[in-house]
Amino acid sequence: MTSATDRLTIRARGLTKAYDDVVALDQFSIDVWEGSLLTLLGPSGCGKTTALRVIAGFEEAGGTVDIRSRRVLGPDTFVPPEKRRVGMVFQDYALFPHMTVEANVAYGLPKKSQTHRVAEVLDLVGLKRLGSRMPNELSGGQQQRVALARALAPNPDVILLDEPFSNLDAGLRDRVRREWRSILTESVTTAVLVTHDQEEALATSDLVAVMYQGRVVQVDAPAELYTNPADPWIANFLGDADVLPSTGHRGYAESEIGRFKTDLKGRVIIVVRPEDVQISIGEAPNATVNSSEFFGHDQLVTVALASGRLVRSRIGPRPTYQTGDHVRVRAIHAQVFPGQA
Amino acid sequence: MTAGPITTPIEKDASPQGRRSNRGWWIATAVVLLPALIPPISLAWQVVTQGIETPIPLGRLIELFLGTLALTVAVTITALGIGTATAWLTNRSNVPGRRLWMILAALPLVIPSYMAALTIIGATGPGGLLSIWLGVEIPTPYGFVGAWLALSVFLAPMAHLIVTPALRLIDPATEEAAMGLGASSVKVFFTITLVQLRPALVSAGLMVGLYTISDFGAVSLLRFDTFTRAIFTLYAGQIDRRPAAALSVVLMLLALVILFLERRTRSRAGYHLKSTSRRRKRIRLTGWNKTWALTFLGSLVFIALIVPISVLVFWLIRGVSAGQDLGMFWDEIGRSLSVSIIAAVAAAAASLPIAMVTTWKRGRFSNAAETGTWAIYALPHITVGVAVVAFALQWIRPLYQTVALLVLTYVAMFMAQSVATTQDSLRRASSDLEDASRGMGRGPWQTLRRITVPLARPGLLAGSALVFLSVMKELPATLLLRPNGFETLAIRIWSSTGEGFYTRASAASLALLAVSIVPLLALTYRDLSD
Repeated sequence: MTSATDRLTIRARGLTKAYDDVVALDQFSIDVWEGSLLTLLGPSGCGKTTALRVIAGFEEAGGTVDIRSRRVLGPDTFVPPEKRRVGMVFQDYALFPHMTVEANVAYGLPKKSQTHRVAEVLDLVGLKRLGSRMPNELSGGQQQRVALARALAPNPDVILLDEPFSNLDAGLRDRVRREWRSILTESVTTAVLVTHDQEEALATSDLVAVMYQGRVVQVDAPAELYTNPADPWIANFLGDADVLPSTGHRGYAESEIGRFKTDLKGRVIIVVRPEDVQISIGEAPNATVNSSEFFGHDQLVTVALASGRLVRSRIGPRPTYQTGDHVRVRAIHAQVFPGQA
Repeated sequence: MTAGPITTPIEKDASPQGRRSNRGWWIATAVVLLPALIPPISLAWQVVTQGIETPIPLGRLIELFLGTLALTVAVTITALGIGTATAWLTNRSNVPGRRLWMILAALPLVIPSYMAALTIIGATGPGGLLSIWLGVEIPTPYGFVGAWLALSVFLAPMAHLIVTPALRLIDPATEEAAMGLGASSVKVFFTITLVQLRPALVSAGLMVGLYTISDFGAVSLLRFDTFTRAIFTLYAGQIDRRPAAALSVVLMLLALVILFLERRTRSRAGYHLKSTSRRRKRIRLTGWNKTWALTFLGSLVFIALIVPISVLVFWLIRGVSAGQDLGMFWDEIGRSLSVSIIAAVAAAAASLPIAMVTTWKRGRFSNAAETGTWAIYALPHITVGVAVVAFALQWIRPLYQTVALLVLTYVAMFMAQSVATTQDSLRRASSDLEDASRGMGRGPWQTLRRITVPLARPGLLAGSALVFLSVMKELPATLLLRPNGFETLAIRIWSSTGEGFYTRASAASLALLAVSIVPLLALTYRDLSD
């Protein structure tokens, strides 16, 4: 009989850690399902790397961690990192500078299976012919793939990725990310990725856990997270958003750019994303174009409402608007939260 | 594509103390560091609590203090000037024979100060080598001038060796930018290069300054009164050792004040591990500049290498042709070699935990561990000798006058050299490497053997070479601590000089130089690969 937790690769509960008086982890809990990629997303200093290091066993913390239903961290338990079957890819890759690429990859393998497995994973990451190079003879992207191959080689239960793309330049990053995603899928590996890059988190993950001050504040699938953030801070952190004050009344919250369903009563704030804001020229203008930025595939138009508040609208490349144009602005979707703007 | 991860700064944990892997290193650090601190502390405690019953007259104390201070300041300034000049010329200019000068500038480091003094005496005065060569008699510079000359010339290589790597780490772009703004190369040197060299100059100044206040051989032979000479006279001449102990504590405090001042000037900026892979254009010396550079380097090599070695060879030949007995000294060579090698290996082993807890495994006590290491190194050897003798007589009598205690004292005194080079090696690698190894299923011992030690190896080797050289030359602590009849090369040189057997002294000196040259060449070798 298989229970639901059998398919849980990592189960962390109530992890708590403080450095002197700085709180790094505060009741941090997370579930990672087998074969999935979960991203820990948060601003720098929110404790996401610490969480990863605690799971890997490089640091201790209060709380419990189970990997494949085996307790590895608890009040009386500490399984050392080498016995956790966890692969880690470090932000600076941490390749052993005194060993060849092959020796790096073979490092975590038992003697007899080395040759075969090293060739296999190097092939998987597309570095078959670079096995005899030293790490400093490789480009940044290649070093990074060696780091991935090395972590994958011993077939770990889970692979932990600590901001692995942050050292690559923007153009390369998207491609490498897709490549890695398919490598991880191909090797059916459970993975936890740490990043501060929203786009990266949303584009790569099955689930995203947003972290703030040592705590997980929301876990959801990328699309759900983006469209239904749990609070205004998350909404703002995940992408552009503008805020309008309003009042909840008879199931609606009214605003200058439309009315939105809500059960809330009293003071509320409406959070609207630029791509949900439409602009048109014509009858009953309610705003004036304040400025616009043109990006090619789209443009971001900022308009001033009658109240003086600024709202952004992301629209296609045509038509373009001039500063001072009188326009009609309407939001097709927005979220309503309790509170004051 | 970006240059790769090597240039990215490694984010340090705020305080990774909760990590189990650190405990072993901290315990090892305590085991090597705390025993080394005990003798000097107990000596200071003893003097402070019991007072001095036969006080040295205050006037005499002030006299000694001023003499020591004046010599230290003069030697430090001179040695830094010479060392920086040789480092700059051999690294940044196209002076002919650059690589040869690079070795020659470092080479006098193997000459101990007492040998330098000895050869100054041999070269000057009536019947001195220079009077034979030049036909003019140069009076022997006894006193301040002689000590200043001997120590400056023979400590300049220390400054040279510290400034050289720092000179290479300066980002060429900063100097190019200054030149692009129209600055002359002289202006660039003083406004850009020298400023960035400041940390290296401060630590070179510390090394040279501490060595000078600690020096015993040169000041004794050249008859300049400093603390060390006074301590030895008090120690050797009297049964009551308390005055010597009291003076030792004063000297110890002086050294610690200098160490403290150096710590204060250190910036908290930390290390910038930029790999300057870019080639740097060398400054072209032309016309008079080239002549001046060659004259400078030539006279330096003449004074620091040719004269001393000629004097030694001259004495040897003169003695042998006069039928003098050289005296067999294979035993002395064997003793010097074995204590130097054992101390070098032990010091390297002892330095690894200290280097670890001050780089990769930093924690609350890292600064204390580092300060402790340097504090022991800063203590003048004669005061360490006095402290260890006092401590051994009271607490560990069976160890008194044993080779074991002598070697342990060497390790404690010179460990810092090996710590510094090992720290340098470890700083060049990321502390994540150990975690990476653990994460891949290797336990702490395998990680130590396959990752940590190989990465630290260049520093451990360089450190052992430095310790070997230091032990080889060490005189005052050896004089105080050696078992009866335990003659090393240094002791033999010292005692034969004292008794006027210059032929013997010269043979032993040449043997000491020959033995020291191998580790020194190994040290300079890595600088040549540019």
